[in-house]
Amino acid sequence: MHDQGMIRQEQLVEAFVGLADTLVADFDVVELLQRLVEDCVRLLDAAAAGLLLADQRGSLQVLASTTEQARLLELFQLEADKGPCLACFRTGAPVLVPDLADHPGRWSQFATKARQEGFASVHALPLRLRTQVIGALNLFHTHTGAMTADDLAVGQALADVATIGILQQRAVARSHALSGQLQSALNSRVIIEQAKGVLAERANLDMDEAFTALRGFARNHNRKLVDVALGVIEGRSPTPDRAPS
Amino acid sequence: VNGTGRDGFPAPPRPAMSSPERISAVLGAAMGHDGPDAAWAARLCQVCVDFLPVQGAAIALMSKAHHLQTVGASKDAILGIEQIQVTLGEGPGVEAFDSRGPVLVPDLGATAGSRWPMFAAALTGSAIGAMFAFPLELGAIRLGVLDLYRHQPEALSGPELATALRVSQAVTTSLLEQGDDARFDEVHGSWLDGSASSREVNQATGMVLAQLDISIEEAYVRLRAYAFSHNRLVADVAADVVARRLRFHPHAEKDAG
Repeated sequence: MHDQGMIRQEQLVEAFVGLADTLVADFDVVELLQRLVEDCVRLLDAAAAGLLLADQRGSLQVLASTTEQARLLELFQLEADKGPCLACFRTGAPVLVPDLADHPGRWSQFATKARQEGFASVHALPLRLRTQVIGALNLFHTHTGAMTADDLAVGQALADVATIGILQQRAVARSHALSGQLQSALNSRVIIEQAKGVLAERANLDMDEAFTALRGFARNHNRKLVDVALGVIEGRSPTPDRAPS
Repeated sequence: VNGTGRDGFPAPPRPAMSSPERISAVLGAAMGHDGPDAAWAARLCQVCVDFLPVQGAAIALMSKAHHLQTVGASKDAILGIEQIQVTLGEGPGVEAFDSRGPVLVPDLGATAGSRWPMFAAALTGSAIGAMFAFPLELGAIRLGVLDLYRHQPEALSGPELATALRVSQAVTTSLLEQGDDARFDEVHGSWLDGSASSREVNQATGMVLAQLDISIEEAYVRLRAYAFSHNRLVADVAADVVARRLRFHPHAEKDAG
């Protein structure tokens, strides 16, 4: 008979095996990070998760999130500019906000907006390579309370997988190449946004649907998300779910 | 750190390595408002040589036929090498352009022979030990490549690489702004960031591409041109496009909402 603990353990093993499977040669980093934020929501009972990376100017940018809704992306960005995510990135340590109502002074603008969106607590975990912090994983919950030590450990392990994935993308983990890797990953995100626009217009989809269609097409055809996106922009590949207009 | 450079060459004064503001100011002045001609490229390449431990820099831009063409360099010898690379169609810069990511070759002698045999042969006797190539791109929009040349086979440090990336992004921004009167500082701060509004600009660019059936580069230019001719922020116009309050129509001089 399975108890909750057993089920959870199986889910964890499944998630990490799935992530390990994506770390093959020439894998798709955007897809890896997307799976990772989705695993976070599933395994850690979060309502939303976002992964932010620092660009070469040191500003944090959303690279993957469980939602493509503009107002939630704005919330992630606000957290990165004036919230726990920034504090986590600067200190390299987890920042736990078990009750957003308890932080009227600190991050007040972020806390207010987060609560307006129905969130009650937020946790930010660092993406670390040795001494360098390259970004942060953010978890939003609709209930108050700090995550348990076990959950935080799982979250940090998922964040570590993200770091490894980003840095191993071209099998170059040397620190001098780090900014270059981050730059490529961030540019991939821009390509995907451009492709979402093309698809949204051609197939009359909203941005969320356009992203789902791109991703589904990439998965079904075993291709990288960024390659499918480039194909859509350059008109090289059949447009996924193209509706007659 | 001033004084004698680590690579034995006299180190140029680099007081602003840690000051993005100063680099932006110097770049802004170097870019001016003229087009991407040889003098423009030479000025930008000189900024690279002044701010980074490299002895040469060159810029190549994509032609209409989607081929790289050398525009300018910090000095004639570098211009020559860059032209060889572009003509041969192989080398770190060509690879950076094709792969859409930086190509960093801290020890050219050790790797170039097998990766780019013709280019490596052409480099013999040129005293180039390292090359760092940065694509000039915004998402799928590809404009060209910035190549940095170093005498000594030595990697760029993290902060140096960050500066190089900042310069390549600034050059990209400048190229995308050609013909606008927008001030460099204004655009530098807001165009390539990851804010929700720039996400919408990227999405709107894709939508305009589909509405007009044009290239992504042209779509970006059209979106910006519309904003400027209507005295509006591009972010606001992009929001209207994404919300489908504004469409671009082929064959229409004035786009109607």
